[in-house]
Amino acid sequence: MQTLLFVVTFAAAGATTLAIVRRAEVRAAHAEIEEYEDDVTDRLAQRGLTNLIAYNRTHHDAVHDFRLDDAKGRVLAGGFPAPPIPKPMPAKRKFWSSFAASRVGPVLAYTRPEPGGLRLTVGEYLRAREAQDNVILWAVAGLATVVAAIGMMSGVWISRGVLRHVDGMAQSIERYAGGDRAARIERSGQGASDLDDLAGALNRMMDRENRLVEGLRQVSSSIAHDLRRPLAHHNQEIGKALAGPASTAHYRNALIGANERVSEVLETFQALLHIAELEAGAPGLALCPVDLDEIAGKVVDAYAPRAEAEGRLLSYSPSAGGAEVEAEPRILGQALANLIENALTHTPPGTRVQIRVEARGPRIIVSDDGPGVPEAIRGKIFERFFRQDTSRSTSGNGLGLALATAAFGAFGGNLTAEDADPGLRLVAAFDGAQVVGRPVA
Amino acid sequence: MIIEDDGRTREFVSDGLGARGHEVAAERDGRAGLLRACDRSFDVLVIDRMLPSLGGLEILRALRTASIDTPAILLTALGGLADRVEGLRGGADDYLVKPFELDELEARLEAIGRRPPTVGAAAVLRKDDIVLDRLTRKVTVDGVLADLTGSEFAMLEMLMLNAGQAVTKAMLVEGVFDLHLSAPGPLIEPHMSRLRAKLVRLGAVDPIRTLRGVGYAIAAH
Repeated sequence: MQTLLFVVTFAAAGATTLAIVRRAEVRAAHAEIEEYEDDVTDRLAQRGLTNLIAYNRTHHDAVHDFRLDDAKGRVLAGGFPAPPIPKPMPAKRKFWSSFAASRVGPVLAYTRPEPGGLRLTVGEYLRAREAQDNVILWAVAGLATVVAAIGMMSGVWISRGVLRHVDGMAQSIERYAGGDRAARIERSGQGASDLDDLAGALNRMMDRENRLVEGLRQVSSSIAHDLRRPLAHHNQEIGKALAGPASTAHYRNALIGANERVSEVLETFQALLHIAELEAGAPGLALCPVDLDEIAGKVVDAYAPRAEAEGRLLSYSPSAGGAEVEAEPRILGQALANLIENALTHTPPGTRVQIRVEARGPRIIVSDDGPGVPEAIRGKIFERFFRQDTSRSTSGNGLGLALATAAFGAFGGNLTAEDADPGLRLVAAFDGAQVVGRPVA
Repeated sequence: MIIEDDGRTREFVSDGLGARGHEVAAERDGRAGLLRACDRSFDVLVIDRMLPSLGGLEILRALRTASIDTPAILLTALGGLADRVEGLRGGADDYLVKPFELDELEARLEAIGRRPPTVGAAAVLRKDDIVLDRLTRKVTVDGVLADLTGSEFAMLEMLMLNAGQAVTKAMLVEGVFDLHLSAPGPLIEPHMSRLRAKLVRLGAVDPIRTLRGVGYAIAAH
């Protein structure tokens, strides 16, 4: 379709060019005939017919010629073909005519009366010009054919390449949709193209979806596993209570225990819902500038007596120049509390826990000199329900750090774990957060 | 009055509080609840955040706009992270996440019900020879200045403002530290023993009673 349009456009352009050339040639022919006519008339008036005949023979240019007819139409001199005499004769009896003569082909002629009833006709044989026109015509047609052929071939070549790439993309997507989660679209390898950009975007989408699916799978199996434990325990305890003595006091104690266990499950649900809300960016939360020094100081004050009572030392060093982030203060405080609680819960007595706020970043750092976390599983501690202690004997629901990660994330922060040698260092960095005072982009 | 569309929660609250000697009215519909609350005959309101016809936040906003400042506690469902902040901003005096213990609700209702709605309580609170000045933020025992931290002062202030009523551990953690903990005990207990030790060291009779499973209280005069 595009090729056809291309050919038609090219043909139209060729035809227009040819028409313009023809028009210019007709004008040139007219001008040349008029010039020749002047020459012939002068020579005829000044030197007579004999001189004109002789001159025409010697200076014949093979293109222009004349003839002189008497009143009866008999030729007196010259070899130019006789023009058809219009009837009636034009008023001034001068006229242009264009006709095809035998043997010499097409001619253009100018006829005008001369004294004594004579009629002078001058004109041009157009064969040479037509031959020239034909050369142009053939050249244009030839060029058009070559260009159209090249255009069609390259069009086919390009569209075959594109189609092959699109086919490849469709197959990869088909494979992915069919359950092959590792299927990815190959790039054409021909530098940056729109299709490669599209392939890249689709691959990123697949990667992200894979991560989400993987996360979802991990979370749902963890939920099933983690809620089965307290519920199974709950069931067991109810069975024990029913098998025991049928006294109100006995049942009451059993119910107190049951209440605690159900509360534990509800807390787990609450935490999971909070994580989900925060990961969705916690719509509806009103953010305000939060002074990290102030909030960290407050949380450290809250935990210091508990840390001391449990035999750990909590120390705090605020930033030198002050640090602020856009956040919801309670949720940020809660997230920091989770980091401290993690350090207090998973370290032996005697451990020192240090909280530090740094203006650069800004960052909040919670480090301890406890046993630390092996590098292989350090990245996993932020996952929901992750516990280093697989017997799950330590307290907590395994959601504290996941909740903190989601909370910091909701405010543009990023929580990472490092080796504090010895111990674990948790760093909440707000490099990506909008720092207060910086103009909004 | 409780405005709650869920029958079980409504019954749990109205029967539970009724059994403890409170007079409880119940409404299941938001509009009807708002109309009844307008006659200012209730001491406190318990309003569910999610109601079919008119939400808890809208009821509160309407009441506060009409200058009806009956203290109100908002009930929110599990999750609802933004609800808490929004609820307090929207004119609630406190909020509670469902499900909750009756003790917790009662303690909070008494705390907000006793709080004079507009003007603050007395600037100086007394209990035996303990004097707490809310303006200078100083506590003296028999005239001797007690060296309390900011959080210890805030805890004592909360207990004295609610003298005669239970203050739960969760209320203290929220009121003093702005934190929400599933197990507030380990955090608040060391603070409380330090506060008590400081007061006793200055010769005071320990004014704080521990209410097992609920929280703490200071007896009224």
